[in-house]
Amino acid sequence: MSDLDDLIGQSVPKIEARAKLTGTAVYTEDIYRPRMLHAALLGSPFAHARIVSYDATAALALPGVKAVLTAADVPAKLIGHTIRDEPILARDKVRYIGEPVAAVAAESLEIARQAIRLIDIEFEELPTVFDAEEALADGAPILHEDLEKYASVVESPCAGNMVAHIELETGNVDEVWNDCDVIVEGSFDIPAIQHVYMETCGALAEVDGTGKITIWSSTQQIFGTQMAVALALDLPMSKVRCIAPAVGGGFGAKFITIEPITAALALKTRRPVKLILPRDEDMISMRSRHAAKIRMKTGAMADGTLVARSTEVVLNGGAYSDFSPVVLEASMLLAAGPYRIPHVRNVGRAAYTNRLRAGAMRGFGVMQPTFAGESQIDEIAAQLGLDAIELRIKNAKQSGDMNMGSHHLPVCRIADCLKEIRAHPAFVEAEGDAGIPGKRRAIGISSIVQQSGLFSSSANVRLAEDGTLTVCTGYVDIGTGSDTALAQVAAATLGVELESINIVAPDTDGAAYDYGTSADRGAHGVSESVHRAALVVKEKITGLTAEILECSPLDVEVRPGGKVGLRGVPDVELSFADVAQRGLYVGGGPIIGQHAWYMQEQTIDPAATRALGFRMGGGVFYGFAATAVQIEVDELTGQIEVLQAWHAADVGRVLNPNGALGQIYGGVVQGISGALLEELVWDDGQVVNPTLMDYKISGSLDAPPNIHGILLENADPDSPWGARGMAEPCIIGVAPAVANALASATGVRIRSLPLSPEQVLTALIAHETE
Amino acid sequence: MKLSNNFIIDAPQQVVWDFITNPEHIGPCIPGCEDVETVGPDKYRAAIKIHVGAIKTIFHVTITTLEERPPEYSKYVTEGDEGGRASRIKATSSLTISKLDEQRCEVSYSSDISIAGRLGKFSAGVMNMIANKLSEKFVATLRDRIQSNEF
Repeated sequence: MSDLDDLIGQSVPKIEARAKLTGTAVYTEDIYRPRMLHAALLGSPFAHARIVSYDATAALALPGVKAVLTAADVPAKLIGHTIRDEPILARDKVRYIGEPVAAVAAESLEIARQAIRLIDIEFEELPTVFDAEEALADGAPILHEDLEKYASVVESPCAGNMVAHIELETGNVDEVWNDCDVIVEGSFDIPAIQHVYMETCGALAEVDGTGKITIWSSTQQIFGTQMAVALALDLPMSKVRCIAPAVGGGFGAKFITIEPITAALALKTRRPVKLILPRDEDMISMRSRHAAKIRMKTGAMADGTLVARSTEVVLNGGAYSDFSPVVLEASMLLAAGPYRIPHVRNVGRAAYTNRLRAGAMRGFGVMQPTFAGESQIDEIAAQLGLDAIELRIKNAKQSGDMNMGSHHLPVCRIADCLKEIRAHPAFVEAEGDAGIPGKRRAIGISSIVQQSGLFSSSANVRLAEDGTLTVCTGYVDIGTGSDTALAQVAAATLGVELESINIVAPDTDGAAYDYGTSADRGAHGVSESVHRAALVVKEKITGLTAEILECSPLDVEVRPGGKVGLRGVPDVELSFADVAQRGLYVGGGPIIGQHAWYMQEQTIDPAATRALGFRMGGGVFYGFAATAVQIEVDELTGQIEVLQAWHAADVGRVLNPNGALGQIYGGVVQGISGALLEELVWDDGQVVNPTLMDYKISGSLDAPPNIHGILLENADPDSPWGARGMAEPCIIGVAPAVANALASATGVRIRSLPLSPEQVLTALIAHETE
Repeated sequence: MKLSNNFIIDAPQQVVWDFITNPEHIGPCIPGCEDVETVGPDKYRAAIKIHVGAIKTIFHVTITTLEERPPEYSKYVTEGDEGGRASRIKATSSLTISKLDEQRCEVSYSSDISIAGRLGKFSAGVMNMIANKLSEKFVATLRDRIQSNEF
């Protein structure tokens, strides 16, 4: 490490902060191309229906309309992240209200939207099913008659309306219940919510003279998008180029959105086409977080030692598989929480229903069982008269333990996270009720474990002739600050100033491969690619310097500020620019470093864990954290206010403290929003609150003034800078912490979300009349 | 969306039944209703103007009687859409007329309405409010017309 490695751990401002603050950052909607057309989508008015016929005559006759596209105009191909079950425009059947059925490209957005209303489609209604358990029951209407013929990359069994069935089991759950001194059991209900990214989904596609399509889109994943467009339109990937301009958030939803439709319109019209979804269409037709029904049973000894847990999860996957099988894997892997529980059985199923597809969302499949599990930990503590934090610490996993699935945990500081919160001065002061008439105050806590890292990553670092460096990964900074953190890693590895680093915008035509922005892959996974590629550059600089100075490479030292010199001889010094130019124009060639890898793979030991349908071959690193909240409940209205929150994150090593704290602030507020306010509401398959007027999310006034972020550093030995993913855990523990605080304040245990005033008040009244 | 209401009319049960089950009489009581037409023994067609915020549109609906027990009970289904299927409506409704005395009866009705498409997305908030307002208007006109023998 060089002297400049202290760049790691510095709160350098985000590289793009000024551009975003001044409105000069360019998002997809800001891009205009010559002769560009505008597009609009026609969504299905039926939740389940056969498409009998199309009539686009009137729409095509409208002046300014350049193309009307239906499934009849595109190749009969199916796409999908896990099971390929999804046409880009509904083919033969529609499976949810709002599913894109037709698209129009026209000279203006107004004309496109007018033309949409002129398309006449004859439907023949089919029976519908909206509830996941009803969908899995015998005799339910089947959404995908061809399920068994679909291509799939997952191993979980699927049949009928069952998208996935996964089980993980260790120990002998059924044999130990009688040994437990206390058993808690309950059903938990978590609704679907939406990601509510600031920028709605959008894309711009353009075809060049060779037939190659360039797509700019609001995406978390350029290579996946390239693959999906190529597959859907039956093109080689070499004819598809995907670029991510500035992206206004994603939270897991922006993995293939409307890019294939936009590209198909551009191909048909041979003109650039832009399609930006209005907020309501985005909320009706893109993705939601999985609604979940969870039945959980946890048993413990009188001293608080956890003995067994059994969990059954049913996820509502909506009309298409999307990420459902993988989300379910995450639920199964982590339903037992970060605790040493010897006997665990997790059984999960995900169902197709006639609702909007559910996909990835921050907290990926773990938020739901954590709500159930952490509620039950508090219930056990209450029944045994033990301290809820102490009970968690007593059972916490430790460094070197194994997780469910026999995954190795090299570092696990969950107990320290809990202790840090307990010792925080504001926490100590906040304990107890304030004694305000009509208001009850209490504190609630939750432990959190989430996995991070997924699939493949690579980086390419090149030394320019002026000594600056170009870093290329293909990882998309969707607002997380990853570009800045990766620049810090590259600069620190080579001992140069941050200003010397150029982070290349994600573009499949030039970027190194990266799977995409998900699963907290940046801080540990992608940063490792950048670090190792930069090390190759460093080695090449050293080698070429040795040639120039006619010495051994062992005598060459890289000095801070982009310089190299002869060890022990301060006067003998070259700049990176001198070395780069020597390589380019005298001999040695360009200095380029590359690193490509598949993130650490953890396997299941069948002797320790019985598994069904579980694949999770992607790299699995584990992140640990704890969240606490202090709430105030209004006994008259049932309204809960979060007064302050604590989040302690086991970050390994912090790359950028302000960036990490920003993730905590954002994640906790998003968690509060989900705990208290958010729920997508359906009426007969129609989402009835798809506007920000009817779908309330936390705003700045709803955020507690004090969110205490605690960053615990203890370098992860598996990570080159010791960093670990930490953004997803921030959202996971908020809802259980609020529910636990509510139980502590009022004695009322609520097992469904959101904890709205209506629900809380009804429960308070029922509790008082008991 | 569920809608229900009940109200008392100062008129004999049979008079109310005859009025309510006659499309030419009931049509004008429905706010925005135009062009009621009988298309079969148990089937009517109507065009209904609806105004939601900036959206002004006409729903073309068909009303089919499912069950009838004169002079006290009727169950019917209303189905239709806007041109171009931008929105679709389907409602199952029932109507009960209970005799209170010779000159008075109570009318109660309930509807289970599902609206999909561009108007459906307002169902949770503004549509509910509008439906209740239209319902009030309907009752007022109906009562007015029957009680003043305007038919």
